[in-house]
Amino acid sequence: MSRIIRPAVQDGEAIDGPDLNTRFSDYTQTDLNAFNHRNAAYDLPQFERPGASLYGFLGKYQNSITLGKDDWKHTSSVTVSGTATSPPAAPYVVGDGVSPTVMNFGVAGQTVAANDVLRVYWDLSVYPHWIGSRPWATSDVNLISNGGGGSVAIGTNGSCWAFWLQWDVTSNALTNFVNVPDQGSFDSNLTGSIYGSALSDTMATSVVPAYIDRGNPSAGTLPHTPVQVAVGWRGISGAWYYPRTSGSQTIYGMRLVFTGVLLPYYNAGTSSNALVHDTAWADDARMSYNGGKLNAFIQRIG
Amino acid sequence: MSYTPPNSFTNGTVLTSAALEGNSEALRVYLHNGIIASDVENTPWIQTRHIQPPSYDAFTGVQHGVSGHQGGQWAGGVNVRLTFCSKYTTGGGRAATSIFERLSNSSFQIEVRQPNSIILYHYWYEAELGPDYSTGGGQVSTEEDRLVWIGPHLGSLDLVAGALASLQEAQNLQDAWNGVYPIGAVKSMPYTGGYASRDGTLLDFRPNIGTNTYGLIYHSQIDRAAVVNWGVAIEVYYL
Repeated sequence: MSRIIRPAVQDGEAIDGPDLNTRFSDYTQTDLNAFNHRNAAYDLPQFERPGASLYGFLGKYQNSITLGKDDWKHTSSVTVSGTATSPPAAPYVVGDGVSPTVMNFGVAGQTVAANDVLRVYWDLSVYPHWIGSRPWATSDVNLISNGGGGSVAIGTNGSCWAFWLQWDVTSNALTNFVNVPDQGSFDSNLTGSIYGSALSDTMATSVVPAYIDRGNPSAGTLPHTPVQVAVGWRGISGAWYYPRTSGSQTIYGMRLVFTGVLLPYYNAGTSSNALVHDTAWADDARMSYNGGKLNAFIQRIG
Repeated sequence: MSYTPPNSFTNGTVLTSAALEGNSEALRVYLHNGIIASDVENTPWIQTRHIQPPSYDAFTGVQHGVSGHQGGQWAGGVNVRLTFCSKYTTGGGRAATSIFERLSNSSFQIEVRQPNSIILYHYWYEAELGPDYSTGGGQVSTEEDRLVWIGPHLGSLDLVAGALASLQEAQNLQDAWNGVYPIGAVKSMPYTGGYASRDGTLLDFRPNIGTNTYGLIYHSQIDRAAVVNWGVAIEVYYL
């Protein structure tokens, strides 16, 4: 055995078919030898997994962009109101207040091939808040005895805003964003005037509480008016994996969208839990946000 | 099976980039992960001793192999390693400051040995913040608006390079201290905004080999915040 020693192609040389073939056939098992390929050169991910015909991990592509309005001290934020229309309006797209933030996968896009996995991570600084005094008191409360024959309304603390991923798998024009697989837009008419998505369609969703209402119970009663607690600025994050077991999918872009406010709901018709729009106080709900990151990583797993 | 170029070339025909790149890609796949048992067993010039054992750093919990790094560390069970944030190391809570400090125990320093590497740094933590109702000058006047920012950083000199957007906020406890026994926060943390559970992932691309540092940093407007549980992990893939 010997090392593969072959001079590089020089400017001005004619490209010759046999020579080109030889440059690849150099890498046959016979010529891969101790000097150029063996000693301490192998790691577990490179070897076949018995019975699975799969190999270890390998990164193929990565992309990372800044989401939203990058201003970590919140000098200036993007603020929107809750969605009070029914059926609900299209979701908001996270952006800098002027333009939506879009991750561009290039003119030809990026292909997630069979035995690849697309891993997506994101984070964002958000501030859910409201105007008025405990505006949710009419629609999102439990009534607790006040110990004096009456009752006190305290929020269920179930209201939330939802952020989720969309991708464009049509073209690099990036005008055809749709929800990623197993993700809904919280605009399906579940029954009557109730619009939302089953929890099975929230696989790329992050939620953040819309408010916190805190009571001070005494012997099973709630003698005092609850205290509304500011949710405050907080970071949220999410992750989504897209494993491809056969075929392939070309992706041209991704973005983060959101809507609110939503409430937990049990859909008796389908015996499933859902998040649905709460339009009763959405006019008073506000969502402010600043910056974050959107990260995508395509990895070969076989 | 051994590498077989998928395309061959003949004089006088058009040389396409697809055919050329197809051969290169197939070679890349083979060298990275196309080795099957018979390659080793039928021609036993690759022996067990030639398979590189990963080097393991017990202090950081990270192992390094031919194809990259992986590993992590966490607060630990019985040997809990609490860590903390404090405004006293990041400007005394003055709203005008933008000083950052490392979050103890959360950093990795790794040697990236191949160019064009992909690094993912994962982190999660639970923190209890405040209450800080002190009245020192220059502080954020509304106590409940006092925040701690925690986020990932990379690099060893500039603590915030490239990671400011990923800072995540958590809020001061919205009740002051109890003035009578038992001394402590008036309300428990989860009910009053002083509790934070956060996580995230930093993705970094390193075009060159070299030593790099990944960890958590903070900027605090609150006198003390206990990071009671935490975990960090790192993945590095050589392309």
